[in-house]
Amino acid sequence: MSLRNSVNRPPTPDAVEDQEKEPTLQEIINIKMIESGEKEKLMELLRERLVECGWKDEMKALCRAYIKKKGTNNVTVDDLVHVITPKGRASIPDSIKTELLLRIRAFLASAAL
Amino acid sequence: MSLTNDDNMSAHSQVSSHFFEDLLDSIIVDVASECHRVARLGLDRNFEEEEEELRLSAQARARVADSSNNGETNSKYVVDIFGQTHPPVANEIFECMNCGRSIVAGRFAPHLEKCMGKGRKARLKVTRSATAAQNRYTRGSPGSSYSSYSNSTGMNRLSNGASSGVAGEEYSNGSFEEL
Repeated sequence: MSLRNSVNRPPTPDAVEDQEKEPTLQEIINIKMIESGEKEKLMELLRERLVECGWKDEMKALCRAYIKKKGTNNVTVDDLVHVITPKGRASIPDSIKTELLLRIRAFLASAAL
Repeated sequence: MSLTNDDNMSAHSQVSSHFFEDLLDSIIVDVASECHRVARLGLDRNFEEEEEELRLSAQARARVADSSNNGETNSKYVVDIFGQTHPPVANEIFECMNCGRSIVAGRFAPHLEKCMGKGRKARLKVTRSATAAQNRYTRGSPGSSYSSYSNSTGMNRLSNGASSGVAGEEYSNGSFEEL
């Protein structure tokens, strides 16, 4: 009896070990932060601090100036993001940055990572 | 694990910084998107007012510059008892303490009205304080006949709002107390 080819298929190759899919520390942190609700809290805290110190107003002023120059209908959100990102990142007060970093690290420590 | 304590610490710092940058980027996108929305929907009353004011200020300044040449205006000059004449449009230009723009003195009062809160439009001016505070005061209606009342609520809002800067403090010490 000749073996039918369809039955005698070569064995299915083993699935390639997805080693690059193993979550990085960064990703693990992110997931833990989101799950525990800490990310949301930190986001709100950061927002509040940035409003208090006038950072948000500065960014809004930059946006308005750019919009005035370019004309209201020629501006995209992407443009605005590019306008404020460099200044935005640079003008964060150190105290705020420190406060947030401390909280993040405390979380890392408490999550025993 | 072969990670030393130091390695752990620097990995932690790196991850923390990275995470912070992420948070910041999200917030930046939010702010950009909010500004974009306000601009596109025309919600920023100040935007049109600013342009109108710039135009009016420029006009006023032009008039001031011209007034010495204009024969017509000269005839309107009143001579006071010291023999001085006063130009019809006040000359000096100085800075509004509320918004920081340079305004010709002759246009200062109307500017303050818009800037500081006599009218409905000024009250709707978006400031740093919560919209809730804003809504509370706009209920003191635009059609109100008590102009002093609406003036004071305007001032009130200024002294409460965190964004008012120097002007708010000045007024909260002055007129606010009288009420």
